[in-house]
Amino acid sequence: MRELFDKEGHLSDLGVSHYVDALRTGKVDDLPRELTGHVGECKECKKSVLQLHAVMRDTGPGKSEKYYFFDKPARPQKRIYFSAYRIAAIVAFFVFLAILAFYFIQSTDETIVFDDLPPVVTEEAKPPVAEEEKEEIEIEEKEIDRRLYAANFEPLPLYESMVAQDYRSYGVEVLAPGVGIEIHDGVTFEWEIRYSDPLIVTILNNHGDHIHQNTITETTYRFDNFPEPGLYYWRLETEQRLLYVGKFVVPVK
Amino acid sequence: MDVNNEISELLYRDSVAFLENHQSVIKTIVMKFVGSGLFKYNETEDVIQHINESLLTGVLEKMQVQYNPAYNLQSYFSKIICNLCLQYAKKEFKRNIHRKSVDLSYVQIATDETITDGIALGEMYEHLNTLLSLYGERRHRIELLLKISLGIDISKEDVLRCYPNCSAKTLKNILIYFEHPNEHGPSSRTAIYEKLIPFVNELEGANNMADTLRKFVDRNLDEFAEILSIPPINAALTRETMIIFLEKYYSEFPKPNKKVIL
Repeated sequence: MRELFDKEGHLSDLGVSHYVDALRTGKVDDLPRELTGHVGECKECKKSVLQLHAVMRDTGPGKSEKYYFFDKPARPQKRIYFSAYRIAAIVAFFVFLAILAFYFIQSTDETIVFDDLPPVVTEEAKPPVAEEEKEEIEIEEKEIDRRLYAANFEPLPLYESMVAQDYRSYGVEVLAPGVGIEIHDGVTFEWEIRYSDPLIVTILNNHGDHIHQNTITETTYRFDNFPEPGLYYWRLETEQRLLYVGKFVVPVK
Repeated sequence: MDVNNEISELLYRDSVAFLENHQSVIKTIVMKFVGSGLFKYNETEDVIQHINESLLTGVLEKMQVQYNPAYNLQSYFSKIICNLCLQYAKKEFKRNIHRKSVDLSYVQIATDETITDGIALGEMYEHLNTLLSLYGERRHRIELLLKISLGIDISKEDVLRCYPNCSAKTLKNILIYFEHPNEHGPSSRTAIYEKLIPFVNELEGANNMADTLRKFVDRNLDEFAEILSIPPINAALTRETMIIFLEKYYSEFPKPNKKVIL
């Protein structure tokens, strides 16, 4: 889905054209919620979608036609073109493997002696690593960890644009956690809401991957099983609509 | 292999052939913008040439990188052509400013024709309907508050779409004032907001002033007018003409929303 957004979190050209396809085929409900949610809030993206929709009016396929993404399961399509030569090469490769396997099975009774090979160095026989070398390795490892952690704190533009939006028509007020605060020993989500529908809490990392999801009826929820330090986003929603998007940080200990 | 796969294969295998095959698409899109007044008719060939040059000098290569064959290539290609048209228009507009001979009168002529033409008005209703659908979950609230503030009749479905948990008593009270505002409702827009705000505050658990509602409605009217003024729609609406247009839309355009089961 990342290709549907640009670096600033707005719809990319592909995102706009995909939205227009959905409008033209009456499949807007099948679009990712992140896409419809962003367009609902963003004037510039509304302009882009409406403009392309107007440009493509009276052209191309309509509702009656079968239509790509929405009518078949989306799968990455690799551009591999099988020619007769390629198929022949693959068959020859497997024949070669079969001959090789047959040869080794036949020769298992023989003992092969490698006199010239150097002796195998076992763990005990290895010379002790110098203290300085150990320190260097540790420093290098720490540097790698630091870089990996830094990547975990990169903001996700799509969700940044949705954080702490006001969804008041549903009467929800989020009390905790505050936007962007640091979480040390787990996080307690807390809100006030006028209605008693079951709510879905979803926690995502800064790549948009779901870390945790649960459906609850209370107005508080606790979670402390974070896989690693980083920037996390959370969504509060009903089956039908998104109510709130927040974010918090799990710092490096 | 379906049509999309065939076309996308051509894009990667032979981009020049792909471009040749899509000349009619380019011309159709350029003519849309010519029809809307963004370009003069005698500029058509220049615009098409600009698009072809841009595609052959890097844009097609970018497309090959950015396109994902899981999506519809025709729409993506149309979006790219749309971008190039706007890029050309922007460049030409800047050049004309330097020459101090800018002539935008044709835009207004095209707009006047569009607004006064009954068939084009039907198209405009469809554009507005599409625009409203882009607001997603916010659409029902925006439409309800717009209708009430403009003195347009509302139904209980309008209220329940926006506030599904509205009590029967509150619903009844809202409908007394706003179902047929010309019969029982407040007369001025200020009076409407004063009457409406207690209901909105109750339903949303808020404590807003009537002026907050006025600002919300005005902001949305301005946004509609701005978005509907983009080429090739070019409605050239203001807040005031937007109000007139919305009144006509709600009285003439077929109702698109599904009925709420009560």
